[in-house]
Amino acid sequence: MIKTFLGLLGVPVTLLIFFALGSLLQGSRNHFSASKSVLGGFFLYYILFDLFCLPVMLHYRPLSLLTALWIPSCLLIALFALILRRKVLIGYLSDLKSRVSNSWVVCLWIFFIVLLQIAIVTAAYQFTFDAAYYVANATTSIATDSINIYDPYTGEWQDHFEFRYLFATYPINDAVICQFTGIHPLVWTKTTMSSVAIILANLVLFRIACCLFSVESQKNDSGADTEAADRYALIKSAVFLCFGGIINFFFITIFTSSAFLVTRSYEGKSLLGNVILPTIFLIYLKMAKQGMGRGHWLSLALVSLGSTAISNSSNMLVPAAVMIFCASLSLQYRKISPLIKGVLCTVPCLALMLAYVFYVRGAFVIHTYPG
Amino acid sequence: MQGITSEENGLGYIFLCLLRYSGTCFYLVWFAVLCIYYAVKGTLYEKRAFALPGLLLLLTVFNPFFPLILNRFFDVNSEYYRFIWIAPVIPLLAYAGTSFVTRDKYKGGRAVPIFFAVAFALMASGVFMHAAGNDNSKPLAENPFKVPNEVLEVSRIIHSASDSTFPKAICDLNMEMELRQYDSTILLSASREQYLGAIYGTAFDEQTRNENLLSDRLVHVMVLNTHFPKDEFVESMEGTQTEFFVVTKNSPINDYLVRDMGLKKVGETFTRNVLKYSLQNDDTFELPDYNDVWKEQGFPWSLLNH
Repeated sequence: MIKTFLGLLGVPVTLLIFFALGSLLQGSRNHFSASKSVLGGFFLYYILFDLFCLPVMLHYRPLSLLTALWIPSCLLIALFALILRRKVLIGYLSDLKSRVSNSWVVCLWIFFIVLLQIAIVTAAYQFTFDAAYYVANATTSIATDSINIYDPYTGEWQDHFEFRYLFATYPINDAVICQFTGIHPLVWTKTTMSSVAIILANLVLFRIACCLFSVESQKNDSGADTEAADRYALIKSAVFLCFGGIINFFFITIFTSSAFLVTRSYEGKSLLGNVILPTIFLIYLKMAKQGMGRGHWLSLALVSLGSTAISNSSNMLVPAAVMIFCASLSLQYRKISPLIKGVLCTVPCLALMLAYVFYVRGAFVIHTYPG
Repeated sequence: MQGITSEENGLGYIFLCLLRYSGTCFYLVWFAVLCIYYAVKGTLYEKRAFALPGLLLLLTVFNPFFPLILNRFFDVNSEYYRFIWIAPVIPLLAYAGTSFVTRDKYKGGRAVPIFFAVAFALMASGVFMHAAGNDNSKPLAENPFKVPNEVLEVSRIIHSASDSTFPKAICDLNMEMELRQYDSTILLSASREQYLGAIYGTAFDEQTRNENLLSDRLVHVMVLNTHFPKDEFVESMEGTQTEFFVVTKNSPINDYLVRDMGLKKVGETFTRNVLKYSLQNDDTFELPDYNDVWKEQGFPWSLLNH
């Protein structure tokens, strides 16, 4: 019970760190959004973590060093962000308080929908083959105080880094947190990160709903007040989340992203299918509605870069998704520039994909020892 | 996708993929129907949001030629289904359902039964995650670690029966997949690929076969109930430094291991026996020492050396 409680306590702490980091990416109080902040912070967090992890790993240094470097740095950056943005945050929180109190029933409904999903998923037992890699990688890293040097499946020492997992340091972050907190990786991944994944997936769906059912579209011909329109849009978003949740729990074969969300939520691939790709779709929806502003392209670049740290499969899927949606934009706006900008945004993914192709063909190997 | 390849199935590959991807769920059918609906009857934004990407997905991901071309450059046979994740199935279906429920003519209390009707229709179009017949999914985990209690028990038995900090074992496939998630100080003699190779008869290259000869024998004992002569069995156990066999109680290899090979039962759980082999040459596993490597590293890493 205590283990589960500690695991669940990690959820708001993780989201708060994402929120703090994401607040650095947002503009003024009028355009500030907690959900955008958490989502943006999620990608920024793993980009920063990659920057810390890769040098430590490639210099064969222990996991404990990475923990000693990352935890204080992360907390300092988060604290700095909160202090720097304190005026915007205080203003936003007071606005939020009044908005929530006006629509507390709907907000409670949304909270309940997400909580129910978390309860069903985190209470369940799921046997999946790939957990033997993801979770055992974290457990192995802690037991050996190393990073990606031992085979998670068998525990044998490996003479080279598996390139497929070199940049996707998402499981190593789990190891770092578990080493620091003492929480077992199984509790952290299958309770904390599962919950975080479900919250993030619902946040993206909520943002998509906000975009599709925006306030402007709710005003009727007689010009209904904005507050009522806002509340109606929120109700629609709640219904949207409800239906999205139902589909996630019922679209179950071993291949669907929904199955990954409810049975393998803590894996990088699950975040790819349920957070990263829907976020790309969200950015597309915004561009289709509001035009192709620089902010949207920067968001897309952030998502692309962050996705490389979460799952190796992102290197293939993110460019494919970006090109399909950029092609749509090209057709809509009758310009070639969206395709060019799409390619530029996905350069990190394309570079890693190319490097992986060379690796598989034996062009290079990165050994776990020098010389 | 496991078991189907673009080389064997050609233009039919994508259809087999979609069939396998969907299983008995109808959401992809709803997705296609709604894309067409919004292409014909949608507002300009709905056409842009859903119909246009739907059309482009039809020309790419759902195009029978696309996987054939892609597979020439990258081997995507086992992972092609992930491209289907690009399709915004959930946002489109949720949007359509929400738009239907919140139509002007359903304002007020009339929207509630419509909401439940749409929710029921969505449920009826799929398969619940805890549907009966799925042995690998249970609504309630036995412990906070979300692995069977037997995994914890096997870990305890092995450590209590071994003097080694990193004892090595070989288990049935399910235990193999879960044991190191809980306790990675227990090493395993064989990899997942070796197990699946034995089960599905996959042929590996000669170098791999030679490297894995000793551990492959143990996998064959465990998975295929192969009875090796004692000298070969001992050679494998000693060569891989395997101390423990974790075997299901109803497995036919129990007698072979205990009676013929001389393993000793040191513990049992609800469904498994833990059998110990006394290693004759105990080559204790030690973590490689990287201190000398670190000492040779220059600034700033040298600052971290003790």
